[in-house]
Amino acid sequence: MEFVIYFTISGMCAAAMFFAALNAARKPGEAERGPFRLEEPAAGPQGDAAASGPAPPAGRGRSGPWRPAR
Amino acid sequence: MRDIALLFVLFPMLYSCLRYVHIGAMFWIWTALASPSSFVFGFLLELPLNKLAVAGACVSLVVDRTKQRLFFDSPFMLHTLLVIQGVISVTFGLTEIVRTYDLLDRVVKVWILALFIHLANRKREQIHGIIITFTLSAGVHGILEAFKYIITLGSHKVQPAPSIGDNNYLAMMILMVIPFMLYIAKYSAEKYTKFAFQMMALFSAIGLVATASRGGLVAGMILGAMLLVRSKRKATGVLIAIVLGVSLVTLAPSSWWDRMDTIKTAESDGSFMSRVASWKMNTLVALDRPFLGGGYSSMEDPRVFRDYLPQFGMLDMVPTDAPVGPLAAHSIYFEVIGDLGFIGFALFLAMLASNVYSVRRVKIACRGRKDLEWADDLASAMLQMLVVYMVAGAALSAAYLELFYVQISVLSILRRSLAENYGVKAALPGIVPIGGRPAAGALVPAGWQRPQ
Repeated sequence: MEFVIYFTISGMCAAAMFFAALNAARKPGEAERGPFRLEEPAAGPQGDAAASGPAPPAGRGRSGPWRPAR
Repeated sequence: MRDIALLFVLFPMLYSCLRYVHIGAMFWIWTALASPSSFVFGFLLELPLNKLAVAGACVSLVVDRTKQRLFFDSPFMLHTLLVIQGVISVTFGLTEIVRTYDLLDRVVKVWILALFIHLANRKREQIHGIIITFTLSAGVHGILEAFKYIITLGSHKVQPAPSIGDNNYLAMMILMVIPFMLYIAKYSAEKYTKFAFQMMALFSAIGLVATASRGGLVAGMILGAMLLVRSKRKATGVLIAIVLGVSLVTLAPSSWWDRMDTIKTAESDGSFMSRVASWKMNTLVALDRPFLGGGYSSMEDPRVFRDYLPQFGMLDMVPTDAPVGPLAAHSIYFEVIGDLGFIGFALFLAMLASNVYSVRRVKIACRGRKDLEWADDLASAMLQMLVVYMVAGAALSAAYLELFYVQISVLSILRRSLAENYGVKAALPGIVPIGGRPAAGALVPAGWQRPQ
């Protein structure tokens, strides 16, 4: 039993490496494959835009007395 | 039969390793942490798997065109200085026992592995791959013990692979991978993978009980509290803690409770007081040789031990009996003090502190970024691992533990990944690039010129 568990977990390691190789070879835009693929990251502001807070809804500017000058 | 089965595992690993440099790092970590040689009896026993992995990784490093430029950040810089201090201490040290050179060999190998990890990885997928590899490779030992413990209804006595050490080392390794099991479970898209890693974390907790390590119990309680504080679903966390606690109270054998009860009477416990005596002996070496120490494991050399024993009474703040023979250091802190002197100790503490600082930089960088929640969670797992190492390591000779140096290497590449791939300026301070060419659009630290 000891070796079955060891073999299973090492097999998972081997699978992780094999699918990592497959995914490294995939074309741009192609989805990740295999059991260890990552969950898609939540969409959010990128770069330094994040520092200025969440973006306003589309079609509307910021409101309030501290809104940036147009 | 075992050897043939393991060959089936080895083939995809070797193929992938030769194809991509970052998978070379994963293969290397697997051979270093999973100790495959201790699970086979036939022809694979003779095969130097670790050397094979190193050779494969080096070939992939030469062939691969995606390798990254090397960075030196403060934790890696301090790690490097610690290795240099080790080489100097051994060269001018007090001892020439085999163990000293084994440790030097291991320390240098671990540093080369850390360097390789730094060179080979930068993307999130690559970081994820490294985490999966070290979690499975180090976690397998705890899971195995948990199964044996359950099947024998708690009467199994833990005997880890020789490359790990005793039950206390295993307990520390288990605790150092549990946060990463939970991290992988959280960020895997496949529900079966999520479930598998959640189950692994549960079995690892059982494995921790199986080790009957008192230091492990204390560090485990601290880790549990940290996980609970970090959890978004605290009520569920408390419920799980209660269920686990009640299961432990009802299922753990009386021998386990007898062992844990000795925590309260540490001052009269022979095992603990012999550790205090060992700490004193290591301090004596450092007081005598503050800049160099005695070299790796010098206090395990009977000749060095005899030389310092007459001064044992100098450190009588905590009264203990004089040790009767050479002792292991039994503490990451006193181990470094005795082996590398106060200079080495300062470097070691600075390295631990700089890793905590790195965690803080990552957390600051991820503030308000929903798309970087994974990095924030990874930094938290790193912090939990660091606390476990600093607490459980206080009573173990584990200053040169491979797993720890692999894990802090991942923290370094996480910082650089945030700077290079996600445009996070806050992750940059303290990083010094060495040669190479930055990726298009990558941020570079102030004062560094892009190569023309």
